[in-house]
Amino acid sequence: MDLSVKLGPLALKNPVIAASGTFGFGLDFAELFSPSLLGGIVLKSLTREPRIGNPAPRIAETPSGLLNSIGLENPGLDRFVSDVLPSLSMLDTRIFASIAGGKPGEFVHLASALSEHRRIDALELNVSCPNQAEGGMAFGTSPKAVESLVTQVRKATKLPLAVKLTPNVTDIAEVARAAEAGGADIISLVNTFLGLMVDWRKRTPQIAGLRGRGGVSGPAIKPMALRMVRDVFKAVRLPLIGMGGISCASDALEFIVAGASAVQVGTANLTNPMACAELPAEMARLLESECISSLSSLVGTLAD
Amino acid sequence: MLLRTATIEWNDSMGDAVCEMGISLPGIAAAARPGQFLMIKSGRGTDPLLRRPFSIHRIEGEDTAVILYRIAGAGTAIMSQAGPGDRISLLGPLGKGFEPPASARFHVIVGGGIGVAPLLFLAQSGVGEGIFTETTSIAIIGAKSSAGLHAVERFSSLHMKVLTATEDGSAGTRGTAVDLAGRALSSAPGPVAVYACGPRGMITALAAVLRMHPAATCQVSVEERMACGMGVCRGCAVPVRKAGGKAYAAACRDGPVFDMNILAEGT
Repeated sequence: MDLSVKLGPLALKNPVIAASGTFGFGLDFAELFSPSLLGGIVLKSLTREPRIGNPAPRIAETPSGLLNSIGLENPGLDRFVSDVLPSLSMLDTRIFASIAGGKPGEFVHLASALSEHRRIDALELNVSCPNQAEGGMAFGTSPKAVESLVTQVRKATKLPLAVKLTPNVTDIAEVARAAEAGGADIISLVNTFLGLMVDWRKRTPQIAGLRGRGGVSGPAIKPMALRMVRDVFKAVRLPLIGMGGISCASDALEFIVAGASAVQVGTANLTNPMACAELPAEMARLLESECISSLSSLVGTLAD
Repeated sequence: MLLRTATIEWNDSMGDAVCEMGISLPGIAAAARPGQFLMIKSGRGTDPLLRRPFSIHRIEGEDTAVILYRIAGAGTAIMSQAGPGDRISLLGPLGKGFEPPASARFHVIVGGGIGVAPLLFLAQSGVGEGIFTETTSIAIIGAKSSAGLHAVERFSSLHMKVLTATEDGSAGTRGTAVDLAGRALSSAPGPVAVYACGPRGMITALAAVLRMHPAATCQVSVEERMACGMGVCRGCAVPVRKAGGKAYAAACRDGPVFDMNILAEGT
């Protein structure tokens, strides 16, 4: 079974990509399985300067989901390049650097600097983090801001450019069209849904975060994510990477049928560190059992 | 590190909503260090979604890990229903454990309530290695009342000196484990190492006592909500002191055992 996929200019050996923030910098699960089994890895979001992240507690469980406000804890560009990047040279998988920032100039700087390194195969613009006072989702909820930002980053890099959308908008297709107009190669969707968990006895939110808010991920968000992938598939010509609650092969194939050319697995990595590793072979098995000879023939085939 | 499906050997109620679970894990005695933990999935579905972290309470023989847990929510309630022969998915042993300093001449274990969970394995190991003896170590266990005292006989059977304290005086000395720890620190001969696990209030009180004994070292096992247990998600942030300001350590990978001196105020 040929599972290889093309995401615009980027070829992947299979459609399974580890999502940003759930796979560290690529090697944290290497004791359990080779990351080279995967089509790609999106590294934890980088900012220009190091960030210590948001106060504790940062996570709370929700029904079939996870509420988080990590706050982009990361070592910053320089330490990533000196300490982390060399360790990724041995991996035979596509490496996406996820970049985030408070101002457009920070994205541009990161895109330009990371484009110097051949080990980085693609960029994913994180314009959808709900846990930042400045930037993050504030960009991703405005089509104008997205188009302007993507246009600026596009000028700074020749790398394949994915834009990761927030679901916290009324019309996600409009934001996707803005990313396409700005020159994106790929649309990744969706990031987490803004949420709140309450401890009613203490009258406090369950996590610290920004006014106790965080992003909800996990199986609970899958139906909403699928709806949005379908809407965006109808609205743009760009290839999509679908995500939101994928934890098994049939989940992944649902996103493919809805319109995604590849998928990302996020929260499932945290509950089952083998979640990604098992997925390509399991997807192939399911396709064979339905006598489907190629994955690409399935993309977007949902009957409306 | 291991990810496996393991068989439950026993799962007994110890009273006070506390249970003890024995899990068959061939080779665990050689693989695990005191203070390390296991991530256990309760149930099979997606709710509860996350694994729960449990310190290894003790090792029986070579191949059985025992955890002591309080039924505190949906996950532990499901776990408490499991019986011998049932299978559970488990990840571990994980994290950095206790490291008795070579310089210490006296060792003080301070456990509050269910906080004795990792300390019994430490005692078991320290006694086994000949570091903890009746004259070089003491275990101090405290709780609000006698029902909250756990594993006291287990510590006694290791031939350690054991003291108990309850706030209502229903067992042992009336007062707190930290009161007794303060007295032990004052009378201990030579450099002292303290090992603690318990509620936040107990750790804060212990930190205050330790400020009067600057030569003593103290290692604390912290409890935090965790998602992955492997340092990936950064969800289990513990505020720590760092040159030039504060930072967050990951309880799962940098801990769960930390030197008291690097924990920031208020933890």
